[in-house]
Amino acid sequence: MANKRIELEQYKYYVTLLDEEPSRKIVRRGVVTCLIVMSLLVLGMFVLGILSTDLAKNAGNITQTPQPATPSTTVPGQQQTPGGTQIPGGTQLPSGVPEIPTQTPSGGPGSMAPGGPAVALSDAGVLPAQSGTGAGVLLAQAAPTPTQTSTPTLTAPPGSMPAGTAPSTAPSEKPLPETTTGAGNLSKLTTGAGGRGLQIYLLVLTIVLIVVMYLAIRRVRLEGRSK
Amino acid sequence: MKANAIVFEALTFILFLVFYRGASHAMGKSRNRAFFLGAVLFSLIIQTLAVALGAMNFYWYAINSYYKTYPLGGYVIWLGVVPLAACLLWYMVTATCQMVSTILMPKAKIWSRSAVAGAIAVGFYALIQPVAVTNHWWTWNLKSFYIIDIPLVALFAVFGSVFLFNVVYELTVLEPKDQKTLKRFEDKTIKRLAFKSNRHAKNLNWRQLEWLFMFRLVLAVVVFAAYIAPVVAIFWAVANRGQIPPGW
Repeated sequence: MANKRIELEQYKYYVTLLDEEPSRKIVRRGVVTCLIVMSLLVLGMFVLGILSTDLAKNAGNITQTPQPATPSTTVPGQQQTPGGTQIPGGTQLPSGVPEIPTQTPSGGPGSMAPGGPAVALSDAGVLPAQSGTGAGVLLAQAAPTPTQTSTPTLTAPPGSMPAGTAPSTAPSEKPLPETTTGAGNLSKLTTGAGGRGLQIYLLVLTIVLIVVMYLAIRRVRLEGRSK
Repeated sequence: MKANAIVFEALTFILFLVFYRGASHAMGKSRNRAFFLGAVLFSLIIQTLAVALGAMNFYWYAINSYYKTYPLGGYVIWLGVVPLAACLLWYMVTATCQMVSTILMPKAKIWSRSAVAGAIAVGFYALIQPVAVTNHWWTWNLKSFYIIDIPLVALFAVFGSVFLFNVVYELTVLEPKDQKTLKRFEDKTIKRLAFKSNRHAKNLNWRQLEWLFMFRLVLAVVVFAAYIAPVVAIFWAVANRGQIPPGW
């Protein structure tokens, strides 16, 4: 009885195996389908990489801290900046005021932190309260958050310190940078080789991967023809 | 231009549907199903640990202001703290590497074939990672040595995970074998408790083989952790980039 059960179980296993061994033709078709799909994925990544070149040029983009989303309520007649900050209709910047580059805490020309432009404008004092009630809303939104606290520095004249109390020159451990430096930096790669570094890198990898998959497809097809 | 996470997710889902069908033909329906389940769970555990330990993060896009700008914002389907698309991508890459290595080296040993599969997977991720980090599909925040803003630990992890997964798959599903070092442990645990017999892996039925595969994958996660921990420690020591302060 026990032997019979073992035999049946083994039989069941072989049936599954038979079910699991599709004909070589179907297997070949499946392999080719998978490899073509992955080639498309590789090409897609290449295209997305090329489209992202301008983002990759920004050194701060990779390590940029996400900004919390600010609530925005759109009022008719008001313009909305990409960051969600509204500029009331009729607000005009005084002529001759130079455009101030937006600088987020993490820095980076490509960063799109909400409220960035408004902070810069209010910091520069170029938004006078002449635009009616909208200006209050704008200024409230644009109120700069204290990100940096300036600590008063004490500069002692030379020779004023008592003997034996030299300024601490002990070598303090240099903290590691928060952004990648040197050759490992994506923005450096992007701007390298005449601004085509990232494109060359992506192109080489894409070609290598597609060649590997082509070799596999060719071998599968050769096997199909030989049989 | 920014390629949103939704672009990555949609691309992955569409390609996955075609890929899964093709893989079912190539491997066989049941084997492909086991491979898929194993790959998703295996990658999910590893990526969840990476997120939990603060090494990587999929939330950047989701909590950014872009979330409001674009419909649906970040990823749509999450498995805990990891988006499904990331697991599907790992499955597709691993299955492709397994197929390519088997086709190109049919007579090689399982270990060397799996090593080649791991190396091809590194190639795939070396292409995907710069695009992913640039567009914030995921971000790395690990004190490590970085190349093209990708921590080397991540590439070592890709190699190790794909290598281990392929070894387990080939030794359990394709050519069922009992490893000497594991046999005693497996006899005392899964075979005694679940199968109630100490039969050789070759003589197990398909259902039992599937369970053995999952059991060995759990062991593979432990081996992976033992492999990646010293790698992380070494790169921590020679790091060229520190961690970004908390507040992600």
